[in-house]
Amino acid sequence: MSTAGNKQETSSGKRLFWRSLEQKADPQAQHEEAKASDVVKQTISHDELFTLRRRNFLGLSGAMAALVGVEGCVRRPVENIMPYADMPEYINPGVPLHYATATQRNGEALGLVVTTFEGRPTKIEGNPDHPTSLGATDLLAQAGILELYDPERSHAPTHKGVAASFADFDAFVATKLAELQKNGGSGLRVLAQPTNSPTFVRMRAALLAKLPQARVHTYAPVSQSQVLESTRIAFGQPTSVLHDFSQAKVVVALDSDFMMTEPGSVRSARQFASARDMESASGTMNRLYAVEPLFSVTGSNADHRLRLPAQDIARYARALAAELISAHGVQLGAIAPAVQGVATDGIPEHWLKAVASDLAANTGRSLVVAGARQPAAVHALVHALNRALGNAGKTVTYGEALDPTEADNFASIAALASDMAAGKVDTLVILGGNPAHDAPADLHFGDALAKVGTSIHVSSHDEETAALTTWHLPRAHELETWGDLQASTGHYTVQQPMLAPLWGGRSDIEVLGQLAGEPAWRGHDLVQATVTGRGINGELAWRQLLHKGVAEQTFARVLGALEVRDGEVAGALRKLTDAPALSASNLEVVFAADAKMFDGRYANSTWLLELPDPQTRITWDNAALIGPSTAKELGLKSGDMVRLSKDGASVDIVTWVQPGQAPNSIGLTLGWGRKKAGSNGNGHGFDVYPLRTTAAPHFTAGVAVQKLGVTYPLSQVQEHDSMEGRPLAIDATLSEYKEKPNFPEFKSPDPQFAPLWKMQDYSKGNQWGMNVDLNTCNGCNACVIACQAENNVPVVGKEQVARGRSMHWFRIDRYYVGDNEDTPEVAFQPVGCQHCEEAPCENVCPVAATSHSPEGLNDIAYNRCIGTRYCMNNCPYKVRRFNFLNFNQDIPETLQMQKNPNVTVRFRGVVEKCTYCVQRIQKAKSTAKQEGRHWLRDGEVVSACQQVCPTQAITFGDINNPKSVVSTKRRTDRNYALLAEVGARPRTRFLGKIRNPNPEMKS
Amino acid sequence: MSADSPIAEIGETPLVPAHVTAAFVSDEVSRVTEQKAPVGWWMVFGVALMFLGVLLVSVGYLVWNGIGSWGNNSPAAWAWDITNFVWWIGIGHAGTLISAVLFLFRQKWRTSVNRFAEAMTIFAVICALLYPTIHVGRIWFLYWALPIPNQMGMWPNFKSPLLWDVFAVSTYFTVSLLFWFVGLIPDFATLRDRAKNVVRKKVYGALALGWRGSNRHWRHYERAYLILAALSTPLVLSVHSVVSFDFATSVMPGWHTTIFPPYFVAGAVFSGFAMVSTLMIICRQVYGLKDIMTMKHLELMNKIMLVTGSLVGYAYSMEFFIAWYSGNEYERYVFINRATGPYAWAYWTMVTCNVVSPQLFWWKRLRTSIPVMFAVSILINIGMWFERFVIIVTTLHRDYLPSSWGMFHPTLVDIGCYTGSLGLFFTLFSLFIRWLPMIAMFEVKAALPGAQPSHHAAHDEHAEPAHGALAVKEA
Amino acid sequence: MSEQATSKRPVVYLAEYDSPDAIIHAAEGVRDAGYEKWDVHSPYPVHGMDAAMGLPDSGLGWIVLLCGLTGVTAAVVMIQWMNGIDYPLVIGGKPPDAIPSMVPIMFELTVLLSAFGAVFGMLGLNALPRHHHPVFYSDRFEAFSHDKFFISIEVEDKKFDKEKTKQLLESLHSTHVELVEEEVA
Repeated sequence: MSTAGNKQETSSGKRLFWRSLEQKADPQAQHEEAKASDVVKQTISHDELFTLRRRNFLGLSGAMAALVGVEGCVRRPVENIMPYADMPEYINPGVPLHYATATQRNGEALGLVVTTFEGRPTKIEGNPDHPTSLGATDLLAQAGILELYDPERSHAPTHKGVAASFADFDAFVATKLAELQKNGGSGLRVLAQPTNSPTFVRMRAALLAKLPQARVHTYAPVSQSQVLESTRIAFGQPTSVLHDFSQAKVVVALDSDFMMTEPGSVRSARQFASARDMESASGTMNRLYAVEPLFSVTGSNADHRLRLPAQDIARYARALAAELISAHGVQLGAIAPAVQGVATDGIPEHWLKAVASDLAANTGRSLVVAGARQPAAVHALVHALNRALGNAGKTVTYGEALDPTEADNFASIAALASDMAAGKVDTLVILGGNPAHDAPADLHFGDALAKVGTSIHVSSHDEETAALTTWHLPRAHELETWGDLQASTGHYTVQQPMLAPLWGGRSDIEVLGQLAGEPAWRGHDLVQATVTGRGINGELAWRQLLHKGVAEQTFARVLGALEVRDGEVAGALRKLTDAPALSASNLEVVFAADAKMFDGRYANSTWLLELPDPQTRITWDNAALIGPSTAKELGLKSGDMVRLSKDGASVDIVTWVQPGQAPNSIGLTLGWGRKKAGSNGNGHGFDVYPLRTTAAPHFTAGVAVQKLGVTYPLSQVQEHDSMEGRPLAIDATLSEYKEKPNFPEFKSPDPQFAPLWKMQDYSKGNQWGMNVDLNTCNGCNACVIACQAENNVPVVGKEQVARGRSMHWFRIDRYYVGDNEDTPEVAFQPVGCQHCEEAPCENVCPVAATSHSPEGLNDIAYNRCIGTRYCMNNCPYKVRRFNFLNFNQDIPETLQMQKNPNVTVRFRGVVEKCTYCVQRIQKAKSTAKQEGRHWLRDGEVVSACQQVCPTQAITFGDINNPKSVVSTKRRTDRNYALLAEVGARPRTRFLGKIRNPNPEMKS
Repeated sequence: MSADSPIAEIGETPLVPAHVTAAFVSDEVSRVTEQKAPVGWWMVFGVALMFLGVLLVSVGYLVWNGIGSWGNNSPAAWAWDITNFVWWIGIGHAGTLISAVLFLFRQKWRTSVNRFAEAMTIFAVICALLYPTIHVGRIWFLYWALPIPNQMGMWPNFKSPLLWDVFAVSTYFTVSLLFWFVGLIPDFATLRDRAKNVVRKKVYGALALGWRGSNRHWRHYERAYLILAALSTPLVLSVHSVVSFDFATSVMPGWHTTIFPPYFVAGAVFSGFAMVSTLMIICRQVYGLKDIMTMKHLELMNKIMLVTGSLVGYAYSMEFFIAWYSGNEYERYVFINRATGPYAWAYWTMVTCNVVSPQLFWWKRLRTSIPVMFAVSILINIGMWFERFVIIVTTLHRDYLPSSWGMFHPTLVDIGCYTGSLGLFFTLFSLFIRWLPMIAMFEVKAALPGAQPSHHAAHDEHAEPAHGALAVKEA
Repeated sequence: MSEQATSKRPVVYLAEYDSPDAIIHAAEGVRDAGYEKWDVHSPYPVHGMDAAMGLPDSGLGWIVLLCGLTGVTAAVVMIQWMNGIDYPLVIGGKPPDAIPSMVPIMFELTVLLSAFGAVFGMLGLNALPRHHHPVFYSDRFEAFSHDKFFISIEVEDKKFDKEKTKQLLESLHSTHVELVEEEVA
């Protein structure tokens, strides 16, 4: 509870309380609140403060509000639950407020809009005005709301493991600063994560200006260092790289998962999809070639995919360049000699010839991208290629990088570690991150920490690193604190707090500001200073910035097409040494950012833990991904435990035989197997960091595999990969589509027979329907989490998932198509309740708990359901979920605060399922009523899954309105009903997937 | 010579040996309830009680903890719970069949087994009713399935086959109970009149309702008995048809079939007779009632098992044929999956027990061998349980969308709830054996040779046709 | 029957028989003698006895028919009102008052009520339960439920005559004739 443990204090040392944003800035308000806090302290017993019930919370924030406002009433005895004696500004019980903010993701800013009820954030959406989110978000952002309420976040500072107060810390800092200033801050080191916060950069500069001897290091396990390095090579200055997939007809992705784990994935996915969206067979669509070791989400959406070990990607890039030069006369100048005569074994010829001609044929309309994993030289070559193909300035542009220090990522932490080991570091401040866990293993960062005089660790959880540092400070969540972010497009956003830190806590900039000796080091003050510094002056401008969530003007200079320094690129390419060919005895491991845990920072989120991996469909664990043929060679089956070892370091991990995985290459995802992530994250999955070294942080060959002879149980939500030849996720190639535009109807015919009874009349009023475009859905699973967040879907745990009791209302089925299990194609199919007009589930319910609404919704009355589960049996789509146990029992109180107040939390023994977000429909209707409308505008009702979808694959609306988007989608020829022959007349329809293979590719 | 007496020319022999007189019947049957229970009874009763305990614990845990205590999941939302329900209901059917259908067909041999079989029906239906009750997620709201006015102003959904079940099974239970009790009235009188101690006299006296064998009573009594039989016959056929509707009216491949009603009824009779003969064989060993439950009775029952077993076998094969003939890929897959999928072992167990084992009864030697028929009857009971398991689980675990295919794994609570129900059944049955006449004395007496006036053809054309078991026109 | 007989009055004559043939003859005899308040007691229903006693056919069937009709009507009314009129819901896109799905329950209720009619109608017609009846005063009567047959002629019968009736019964070859008396206070 914010009031309770809150040790947060103002710059002037007064206690802060829950406040409206404006009051936060106003010292007078702070003064009043200080009094208010005293009163509350008297009237509420200590226990009550720490046992937070939702009613208490609301009541208390009510009390706060009242006391804050009315000076005279302060001494009146206060009840635990109070009405709003004086209504806080804007707050209208039951009516949510929406605040614009942003979140930092992998060096990119993602604009958000947060829904709050009575000062209680419940849902995160994308900010439509923000260029990197365009109204959508990724699944990590969706899970952010749960992270905020994670009861296991640090509650108070600790000093040498003993609970302390921020006052103690401030006292310590004061004395420490004094002595540091004497020697100009030598011995002071700051380890920060790559940032795109202007205020952070400003504070860092301020710190270094104040203490010139101090040094700031930058490290994150997953970073863009090699991209920045490559731009330094190619252009002579570190720049950001900005792709525009919407303009690219041909995309070649070299080990790049730009739809999922690369920066700006939401934007990229949207743009890629927009170039793929087919209104009719006459439309055009782009073509994606993916060359990659792991079967990434991007690879799943490729028209052609070449599975190549990570170490061979560079070889392919050079061979492709050579082919372009020789066959198509592409001008690469001095680079040419550096790419000649590359061995092409393992690379089919057409993957050079056909791809090259496709690129050459689309100069200015093509795009080559490389993944963060690939060495700088490959990126440099890619820049050169894009330049030579005329893409630079069209499909790819460059802008000035906000934080060039990221380029030295691994070098930087290596330097720090060696200095620490050498005892040169007296004071170390770690702002975020968890280096003791995720720094390259050969640095032994944890041991080095012991040699540091004083170490200060600022992070959300009391995690691995915290245990080894002198000080640990709770790090305020992004929704709890002031901050700012600058997108690579130069768009500037101010992060505003939705509520005061639940358990206190400070942000990086505050600590940095404190060290820099800023007098007003409160986040709010610092950010406002930055904003004014950026020429946004005046209260109005400030409020507009907060309101819109993105500044009018952009700040990063767009550099457009830059000249490529061929010589340097060639030099870098020459440094690439071709590693010896891989084999069962010389295996490669590839480290990848996990789709859910990313680098491990989200490891304690139950939503993410239980979310099935988009590709493997495994929950609660990661695994060593090995291709079928390689696995056969090694005699491994899914579930076998293996020991991967290289140079003395080793990792024990479970095997997963992953179709499409590159031969002799093992995929390892980071962020699992945490030891101190929290009770949810601990011990789930396997920590692969021990194999990661500064020498080879991204992939490394020469790894030995030893079968341990034991097996490990994995929980999958989908155990069957094949469609069994059934017309489910129906697809066709572009040419087939042009031949037979309504191909899905042939595969899944809709039986048209005279009705046996008087059919229901659905021609009146709003009739809700959904369309899912399989062509643009890329299987990112953001919708699954969005639905979970919106609809209070419970988490059941690994064992229950294994039992087949996962509760997700909305799921993305993943099927493998094709006979060769080494090179399958993927078909994703999002499935929620289909809201059948003649729903089989309704007929069989003995108590009429599920029936049809006049608007065509398949409703469930939870409090009428007695749980015979007959409806689950009779649902052809198996979308109905049953509360086999009381999955909502003993939810920590803070997590209860996340629940959507407009959605029932279901009790044990009742069936539940997708409702088409009926609460949102009702809200829109009441709004319309208040505005005196009897009809709803198209797009006025947006389902959670639709809203979050980065590719806008899901459309929802009134199918009675011929002009609505959903109606037009239904009229397109690709439209079909899943399992139409069952005759349930589903309201959810699918649009067939179109693949766009290159005829010259004989794959 | 009356028509119901055996025709020696075609090798018919009297049902009971000559020395069995009315008095003999009373003494033989009544003594079971009058003397001390033999060791065999105590053994059965003890074991049964133990399993009854297991049932109470399992059900208690289930209700406390939730359906998750079972292995049920999605897609297999139903598993052992409904398997056991259908199994027990099926077993129940033999009782009604013997007491009603055979009665209408004038099968006098039924007289020595019908009481027994009816009792079994009642207890089996009690066990069956247990499962729909405990398998719901919120048992405390079960009454919502009944048309009771309530604060929600809602009514049950009469379109749901489950609701049809509620009516069918409860009707079936009530009618069987009435039928059974009506049959018991004259025998209660016998026990009352034989009773030496006061308690017995009072208890049996009360139950006998003051029966005094008056012919003016017999007149209405037999008409009531006839009508009940006439009602029970379609009822027993309807009950398992309705149970089969739970599946037949669904859209699941493997369930959605028109053959289900007859197929289920045949299976029910089949399993019922198996259970009856299992119990009979035990009882006649324990109580030495070989003269009343003769080998001839057992042999006739075995013949019925042979017939119904073959019917069931036909249904199995017809399912496959239709699946192939329909050309529906989902339907086809279900049956291929049954025979070759992960649950093939269950399927083939079912076929072996239900189709193959009763074929032994083609040979008289095997048909009349106690060990063989006992073994076969047990096998059939097992096989019929597997039939229901196969129908329910192998259909659900792999239906339309392969993405949601899964497996069912039973838990300890599953096992407890099943074995426990056997405990409940045998507890009730032992008590019945101990305290009630396990054979319908008055019907057997009426069926004995010479029990009816012999010379009477002349002036009783208008005689009651439907006298108990021996409603026979005089030759 | 009580031992210390203060003053007694006859209630019923009991004549005992051993075989169905004997009893049926006797019954015809009593019938032809024109008695009305009399009865035959047998351990099991004896064939042709109704004719021998000159009893009409049982009317139970009509009661059952009535109950059956009540059952089917109740079912139709209940379902139509509950699902069709009082709280109509769209279930699976079908009309709330659909007929076909009513059939099973119509049948079940018909059977249920008919069965009640049969059993309770029978008890009603037989005036059962009745735990006290003069015939029980006889110690020999217990054998009726074993293997003996009895004819009882009640004193209320207007042809009842202590001597004539006794002679009639003896003439009908009964093995034993007993005048059952009850005490009067």
